[in-house]
Amino acid sequence: MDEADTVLSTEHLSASVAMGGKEVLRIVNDVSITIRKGSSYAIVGKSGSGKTSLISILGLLNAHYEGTLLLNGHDVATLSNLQRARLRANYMGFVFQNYSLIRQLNVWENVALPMEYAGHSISKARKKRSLECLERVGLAHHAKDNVRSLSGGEQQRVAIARALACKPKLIICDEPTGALDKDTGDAVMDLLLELVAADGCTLILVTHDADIAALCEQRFRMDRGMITPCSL
Amino acid sequence: MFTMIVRDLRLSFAKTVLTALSMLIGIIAVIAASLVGSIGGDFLAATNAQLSGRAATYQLNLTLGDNEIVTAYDMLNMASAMEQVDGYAMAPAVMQDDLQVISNPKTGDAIPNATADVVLTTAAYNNIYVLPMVSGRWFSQSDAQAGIEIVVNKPGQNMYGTTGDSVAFSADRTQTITKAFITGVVNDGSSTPRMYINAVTFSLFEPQLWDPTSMHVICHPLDSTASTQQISSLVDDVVHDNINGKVTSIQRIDNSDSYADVLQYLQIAFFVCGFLLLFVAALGLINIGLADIEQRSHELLIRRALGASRGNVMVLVAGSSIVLSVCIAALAITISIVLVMVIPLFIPADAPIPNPSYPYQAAQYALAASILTAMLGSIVPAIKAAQLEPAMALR
Repeated sequence: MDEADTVLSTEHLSASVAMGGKEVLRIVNDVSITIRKGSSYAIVGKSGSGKTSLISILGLLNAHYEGTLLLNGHDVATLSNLQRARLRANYMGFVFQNYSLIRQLNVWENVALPMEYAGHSISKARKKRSLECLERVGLAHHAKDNVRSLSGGEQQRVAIARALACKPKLIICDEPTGALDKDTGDAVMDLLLELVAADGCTLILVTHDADIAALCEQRFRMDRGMITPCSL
Repeated sequence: MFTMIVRDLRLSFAKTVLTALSMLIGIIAVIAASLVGSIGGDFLAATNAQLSGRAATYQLNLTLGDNEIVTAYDMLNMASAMEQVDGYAMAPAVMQDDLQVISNPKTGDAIPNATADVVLTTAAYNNIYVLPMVSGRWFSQSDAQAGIEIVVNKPGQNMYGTTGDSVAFSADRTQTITKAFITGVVNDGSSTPRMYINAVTFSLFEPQLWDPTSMHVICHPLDSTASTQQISSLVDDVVHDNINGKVTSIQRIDNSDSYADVLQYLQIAFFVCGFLLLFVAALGLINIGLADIEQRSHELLIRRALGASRGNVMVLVAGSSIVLSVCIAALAITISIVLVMVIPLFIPADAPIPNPSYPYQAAQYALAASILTAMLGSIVPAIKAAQLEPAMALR
């Protein structure tokens, strides 16, 4: 595999948490994976298997790990908190289970938020890009609405628009359909996969739903912190 | 970021109102402390100048030479000489024990205790004491004599008459009754009736009644660094040249130093109260801020996940307090400016107090105190917010 095609790779990645006293729980256990550009990956597993912990490390949200994590061939272990934050803003997009929109901001302002942290200083440009992203998810007509007035599916589509706002190379989703009914969840997944493919992004998706995982090109199963490729 | 901060204020309305109120009270106390020093000082200085003379005012006691006779022309020459001395306001105060004001011109009744409070002096007296005119005019300069000049104070209007009324005089040693007109009514701050008589005109136009027994000089140096020795020497020259007098002692008679001390203590007390109030406001800000962080921790975690740095989060949390503090300072300063502008509406026209001007140092203190309080009150919540781990955004 050409390294230029690799977005992200890990070698013997491990992470632990203290359980009280001297007991330590290994939540990510010797994970070595390679994520290629433009592909979609699903990580499935039961609750407590370490999926969320793994993607928090992959998404540069958690710097407490052992082993090696390479992003575009560069080891991120030496990055400062500020550098990690800037990388998240410029290079990654996140879709959370409970939409995680900022209630104090309206729809387009939520979409524009990552751009503000990515250093896009011109507010008109941010608004223009927000509206473009909302157009792609079919919600441009709600641009000035309060996010609380939207349905669950609509809010998740706003979250997808937000994740795409800075034209990221990597989208990380944590149970994106977990709070939605099946039909809405399917529609959201279809939209997500369509947009990710159109932008050439890499998608890493965490889910406990086998049907959702089946929509991705490659799948991993996580169990007690250990990861193995799987076919569903 | 600024728009986000302002929106943050608007949307956390209860927090904004509580924070604003606690800071406003403290900042107004700080402004009040500054105003006590400036406007309060001006007020006390004006009142002191009305009652005891401008700061500093000295009384120089004299001996009048071997024959102790001061003629009308002596008085005229001395008054002229005193008016021509640059850098000093000087006026004689002549004692004449037997002068009586006979009757009330309105009622014709005899005035009881008719030897009460008569001040024989010159036009320069009004340059030493702040004596705003209620009506009419003060004495004219020594080279413009047109008749006996009498000014009464406000309580004296009922006893002696008002501007344009006539007053009848006599003395123990003569049967002559002399009539003179009141040229003005003055607000001298006294609650007892008092009559001011121009000593020069009195000596010139009523020589039969003129019989001074003693005299002292009241002097206000315009240069505050003038020493008592310099003042004493100058007055000694003037009185020696004109009335063969000599300065025997000098003492300061205004109380401005005492007032200044009182004012300083009062100002310190106000400042201490103000800073205590602001300290309490800062503690309240910390409390409100920490509670706010608890409530919005998920929102802050999402922001961190989306790329906000620790600095961004700190600016968001602390920035709203600082923006609010600037607004509150502006409001407090505006309120204080309006109050200072309104004060003249309540000052009578004949009050010795000058129209107050706003001390802009107060505005500087208010702004600095406000921002400092906001920074102290928001630093702890800001640090706590910045320490939130972005990995928790996925929980």
